Amino acid sequence: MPLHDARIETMDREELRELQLARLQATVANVYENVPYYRKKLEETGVHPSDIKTLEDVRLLPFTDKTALRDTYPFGLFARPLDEVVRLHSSSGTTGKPIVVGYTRNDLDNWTELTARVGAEAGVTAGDRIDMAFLYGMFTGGWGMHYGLEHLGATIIPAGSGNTERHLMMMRDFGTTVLVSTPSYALYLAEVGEKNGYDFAKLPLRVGLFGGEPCSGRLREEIEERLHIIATDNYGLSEVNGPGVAGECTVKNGMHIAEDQFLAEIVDPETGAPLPEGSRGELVLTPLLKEAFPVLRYRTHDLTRIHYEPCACGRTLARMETVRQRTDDMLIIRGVNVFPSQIEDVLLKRDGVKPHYRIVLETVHNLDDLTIQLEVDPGFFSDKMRDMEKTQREIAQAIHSVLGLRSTIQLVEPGTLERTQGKSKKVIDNRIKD
Amino acid sequence: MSVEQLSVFIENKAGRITTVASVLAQAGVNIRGFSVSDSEHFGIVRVIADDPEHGASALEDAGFVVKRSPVIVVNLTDHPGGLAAVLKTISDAGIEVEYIYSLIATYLAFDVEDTERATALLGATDVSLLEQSDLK
Repeated sequence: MPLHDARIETMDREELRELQLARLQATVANVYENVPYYRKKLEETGVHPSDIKTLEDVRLLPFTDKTALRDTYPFGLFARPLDEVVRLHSSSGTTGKPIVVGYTRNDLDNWTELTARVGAEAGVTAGDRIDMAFLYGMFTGGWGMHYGLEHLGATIIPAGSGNTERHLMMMRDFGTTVLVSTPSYALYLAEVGEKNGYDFAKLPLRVGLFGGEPCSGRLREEIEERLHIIATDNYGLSEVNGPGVAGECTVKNGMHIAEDQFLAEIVDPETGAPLPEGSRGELVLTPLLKEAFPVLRYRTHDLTRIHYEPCACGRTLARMETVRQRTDDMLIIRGVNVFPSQIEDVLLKRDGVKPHYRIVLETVHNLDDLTIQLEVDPGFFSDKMRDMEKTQREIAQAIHSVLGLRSTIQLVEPGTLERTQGKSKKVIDNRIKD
Repeated sequence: MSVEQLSVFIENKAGRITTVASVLAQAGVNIRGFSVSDSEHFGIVRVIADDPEHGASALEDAGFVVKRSPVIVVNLTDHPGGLAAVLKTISDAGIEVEYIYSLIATYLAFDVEDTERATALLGATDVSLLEQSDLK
């Protein structure tokens, strides 16, 4: 696995920290000078850019939450006039006002560098043909990956999302070797392909670059088995940049954070206090090179752990674990903290169960009622009612032993739960709110 | 010697058994016997057809989960003790019976929500309705 930028990717930690400090100082100066919102914040907390003398001084800076990004819609946090901004992206805004982010020419170049690195980490080279099955449009995923992979010299097939049969046809006819998508779309592609008689073992497809949503180990194994590929995970979010913040190498031992462009901290999600190295907590990111849209200490709400030991691939960049839980997708059911991923783990542990499920919460007799809808799969369907009821009972028992909660396991016909091509909606919360 | 049975998973929603029957009808597959067992939210439709292979692929194409499995089919002698004799052969050997249903679906027993109304509706079609005395 070739290094894309050997100097950065194998940099000695002390040298890297010096680079990060210089860039952090420049970033703080940038927001202080150019973003009134941050100027005010910093003045309120009595912090001046010149107070940032060590990397740990990042803790003097205020956090930025999603709310601030919404409240300043559309351009309130931009540090450059729109004349210097060459691209805008935005979130879908399904839960309020969208978040708009902007990029200068340099920002785009740096971004291209990041996603090229993600590609190189997964072993993508100029010889690859890449099916971009990511949404283009305002979403950062499609365009971000597009430029980086194209920069590596690979052939890009910008198919976008949707029209799965066309993806499959091109995959076969063009000899596609790499798939870029969300993990749930990859699984859907496998499903449609198998149904239409595609033999993935015979297709040249060999690598998947998956991002945009959490991917459990079992889901990844299933994608690897069904598509006959190596699946790698990557991480990013529009608020700090888009895809390319971190990418997994083929050692598959966590995602290498692009620490030259992002300062990563792990904090206690409740208090915001920094946690000791190796602890599990909320990831907080400060982009270090952004000109148009620099944010300070962005609260990602993603829970992970960071490992600093050098990787077997030769990279010294820290590795973050795959994000399976978010502080804001934690459900409180009858007073119990539940992450959807815990339910997914229970389901996927059973033979034949596929990750086509939905968690439905309702209020019944003033109490929270948990139903897990699960699509029946040939892998566990039996002609005997007894077996099916046993499956339901055993899943409910396993959920109970993990979470201490009673649940109803509702078996549904295959293909009836929504397959989204972006982030899939696994939780329907219909509880009555006080 | 065995016969291939198709088992189909359905949700307990109006019209699902109809859909299974229609898919087979459209595929030109003749149902020679079937049973439905149900729980609170779902049911299992078991079908014995003249062309199980074709039937299974038609149902799968329609999006159903189908399981193909062998079952024993016997032709009973139609006199008192006919069923008992067959069951005894199996139970004496200590073999458990999972389920039994009868084939050649020309006589069908239904249990419906509103017996009176369904009877009136069926009476208005060209099917013949049976009474207890017809079974003597």
